[in-house]
Amino acid sequence: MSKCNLPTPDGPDPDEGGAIFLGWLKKRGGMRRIQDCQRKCKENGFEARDFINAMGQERICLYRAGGGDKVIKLEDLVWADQWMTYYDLEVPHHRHWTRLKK
Amino acid sequence: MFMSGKKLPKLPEELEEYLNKPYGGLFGNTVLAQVVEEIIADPTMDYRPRYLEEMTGKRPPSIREALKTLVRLGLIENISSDVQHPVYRVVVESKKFVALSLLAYAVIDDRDGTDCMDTAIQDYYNSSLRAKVEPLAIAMNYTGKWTIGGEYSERDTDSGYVTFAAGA
Repeated sequence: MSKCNLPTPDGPDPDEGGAIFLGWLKKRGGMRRIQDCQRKCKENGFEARDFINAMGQERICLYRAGGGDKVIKLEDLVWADQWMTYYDLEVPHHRHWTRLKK
Repeated sequence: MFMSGKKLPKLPEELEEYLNKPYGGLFGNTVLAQVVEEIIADPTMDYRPRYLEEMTGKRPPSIREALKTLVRLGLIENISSDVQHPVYRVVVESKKFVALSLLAYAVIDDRDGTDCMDTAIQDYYNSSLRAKVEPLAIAMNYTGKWTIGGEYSERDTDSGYVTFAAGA
């Protein structure tokens, strides 16, 4: 059970850092250039490519945009939502933020 | 195995316009809008100007100006005592922060026909508003600890979302 006592969601657990990344990606239109994702993941202590491999490409996948840029796109919004809720990250407020910063 | 460059699927053309426009282009593509979208997307992080320069590709003076504006508007605060090295944090108590988070989800929902905003509203209601709006419900909270009424959860077969609820 999570800190808010919700049942464990289905699918692979992204961990809290991964859920923060999923939230970031979701709030940025669900897709960003791979360079931005790599920079963001680095801040959270993991590699974007490793994360995609671990979570599965049916959930988060790499595409090529028209201009040739590689783009990471969140495919399974329900899975992301459930883990973000589990880790209390949908709309963090002061109490949650204090916990996250510990 | 990670997909090699040659095998990557092509991003649908209709999605490309969303790639580099904050909030789907609703507020144009200004430095301010880009910084707002970046910091709202992760309120758990402490932001340094250099990081925002890298993420937006914008020059230091315009980032500094955007940050100054957002401090004035109460969306972020400088938590550093070193005037030469400011560090900014999102003011999560700000209603603007909550509203912009929901707006970010609304952009995806309108584009893809999903329910991300509604899910976030339900979560926000349960975690932040329920105790105020339903004083009695606090005695039967949905975590199940003090429940005096019936609890249930149900899965929407179309969307896959699970709704948790409690009643008197």
